[in-house]
Amino acid sequence: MNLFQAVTSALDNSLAKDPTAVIFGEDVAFGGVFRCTVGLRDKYGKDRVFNTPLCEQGIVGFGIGIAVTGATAIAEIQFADYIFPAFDQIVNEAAKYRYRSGDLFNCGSLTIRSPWGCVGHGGLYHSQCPEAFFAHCPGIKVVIPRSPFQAKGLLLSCIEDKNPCIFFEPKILYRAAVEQVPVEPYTIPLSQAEVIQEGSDITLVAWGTQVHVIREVALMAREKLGVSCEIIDLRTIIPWDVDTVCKSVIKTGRLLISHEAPLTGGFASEISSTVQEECFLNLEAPISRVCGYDTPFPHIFEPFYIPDKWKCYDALRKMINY
Amino acid sequence: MAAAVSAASVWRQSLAQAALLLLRRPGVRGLARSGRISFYMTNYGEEGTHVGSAAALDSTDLVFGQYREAGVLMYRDYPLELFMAQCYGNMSDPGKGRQMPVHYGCKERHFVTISSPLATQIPQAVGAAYAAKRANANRIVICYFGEGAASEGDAHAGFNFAATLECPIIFFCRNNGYAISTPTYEQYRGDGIAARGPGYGIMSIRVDGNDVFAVYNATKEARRRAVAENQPFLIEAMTYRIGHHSTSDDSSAYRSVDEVNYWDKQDHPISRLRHYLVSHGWWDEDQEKTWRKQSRKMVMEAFAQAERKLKPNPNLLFSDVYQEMPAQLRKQQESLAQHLQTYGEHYPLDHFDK
Repeated sequence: MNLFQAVTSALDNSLAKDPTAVIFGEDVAFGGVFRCTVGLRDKYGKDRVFNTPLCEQGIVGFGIGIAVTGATAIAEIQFADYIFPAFDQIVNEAAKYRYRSGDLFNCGSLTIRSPWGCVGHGGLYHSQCPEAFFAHCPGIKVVIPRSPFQAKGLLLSCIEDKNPCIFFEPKILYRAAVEQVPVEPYTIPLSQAEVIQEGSDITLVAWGTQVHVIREVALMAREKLGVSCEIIDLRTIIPWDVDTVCKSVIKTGRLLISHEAPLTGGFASEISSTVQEECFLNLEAPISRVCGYDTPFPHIFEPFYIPDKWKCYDALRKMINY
Repeated sequence: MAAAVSAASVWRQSLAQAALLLLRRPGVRGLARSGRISFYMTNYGEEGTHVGSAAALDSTDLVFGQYREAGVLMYRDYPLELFMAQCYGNMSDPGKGRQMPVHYGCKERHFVTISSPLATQIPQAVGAAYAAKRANANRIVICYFGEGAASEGDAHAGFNFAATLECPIIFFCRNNGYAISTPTYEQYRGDGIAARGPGYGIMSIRVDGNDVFAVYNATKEARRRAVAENQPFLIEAMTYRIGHHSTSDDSSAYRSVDEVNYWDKQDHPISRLRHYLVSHGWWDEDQEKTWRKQSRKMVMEAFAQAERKLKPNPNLLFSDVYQEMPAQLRKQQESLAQHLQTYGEHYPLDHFDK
């Protein structure tokens, strides 16, 4: 399956298993602008897979209300770039529902899915990676898969998780990434990073599409520099797996974190800060962050903007020679 | 005929009790002004909207409120002890002391916990109604908000979703004349909130919010039709906020004493109900005196009790952020515990449960 088919499969499994589960958002009825919901309305009915009016704050607020009654709400925000009208409902309401009510009420059965990340031509409003805005919000979980197999397992975990979750789907991978994905349901644990390749000289951390970039960088490092890289896919942004990352840095002594989102205030800053607190004496070089520039996401300049393998390789080289 | 009379007498009893209890909640505002609780919001003048609507609902209908609907919760027999516990944030508060006063919530009475951001409850109420429709629960949702909150984008979102997704919901707008200091002339320029309903395809009605029977009848009919037809209804109840916005407000800064007195003396929902009861021989001056004295005593006792109680254990600062406590948060909890071991004398630990 490709990534969007893996998403469809996860949604199909959810609606089959849980009679309260519903999917809603803009244009989901005909199958969705990225085809993630194709076939589901025909299979499960128009009361379970339906379009909403064009209003993100309404979509999320409505989804919270469904979840408050205990039913499973799977909301789609058409592009992560458009999630901001719903920011109040997510941060002030969904994230705080259980805490502020003393656990009398919660919206744990809410999952928000949204296409995320650069796509080659998306520009300012079809390329954004807003995970850092939500990382600062206790009470929600933010999850980003790197592949179809990961996407299905992580999405199913989000849907089953008893806390409101945001699931960002790397849109550039929807069709491009293809792998074997089981048709039956399965879950991948949240808040667990995955060491996808072991190594000894430097730890590389990324999530989503960027995991594939650092994979290539690891190959380049081995061939050109004889350097052995340990690659970690963070997978859950919050609550994040501090232990796996720190354990790796204690071993390697070097850390490079890379994400498309702008450098300042990006999630690499949180990782960097925590790692230097926990692993200060193990560090052989300053922690390196290879990220997007502090600009809106440009259209024609995308090839220069993104933290590509050359920028990551160059940062790695400097760290090794520090 | 006999049945009608006895129904009426049950009706008048519950209304009278609820309404008068609300009227004479002596000095909760005074408590805030004297610093014994941090903050309070009264409901003076709007009791008819609370009791009239609450009486027309089933007890399992889900209520989403704004913050000035305590009478709805009171109508559902929420004990004084728990109202006070929430205001004091003491260890009896089911909300675990997490929020400012008047942010009540009660799962058993189907009253969703109040939050401060305005109008956020509106699209949420719509989602809950959609789920109730799917569950075939013979249950509706009622969503209260003020005419000020109705200006928020979430109100527009909620109305539109309710209509397009055919949700069994009553939108109940308390138009009380002010949003803090902002009068309705500065809040909207159209014909109030009821006139917006048809723009969304929502059947709407404007009622005299200080006529408890009008409120009851409108809500009753809206409920009947919402269940039967799976569509939303909008009720705009015209009333007046006799009290200040909150204990942080002094409304003499923006309105005249004469204006407030008019509503307090000439068009008060409790006075109007009392005149009605008296004129039917179902209430009198002696019962009034006795009930006022009794309710004042109940309230003062509840205060004293609530004030004496300890606050919840500080560990409850850390729970319920997620269903399970994340590792990093547990570390922070441990670090506070350690900090208090060394610096505990600088913290009000004596007032908190151990």
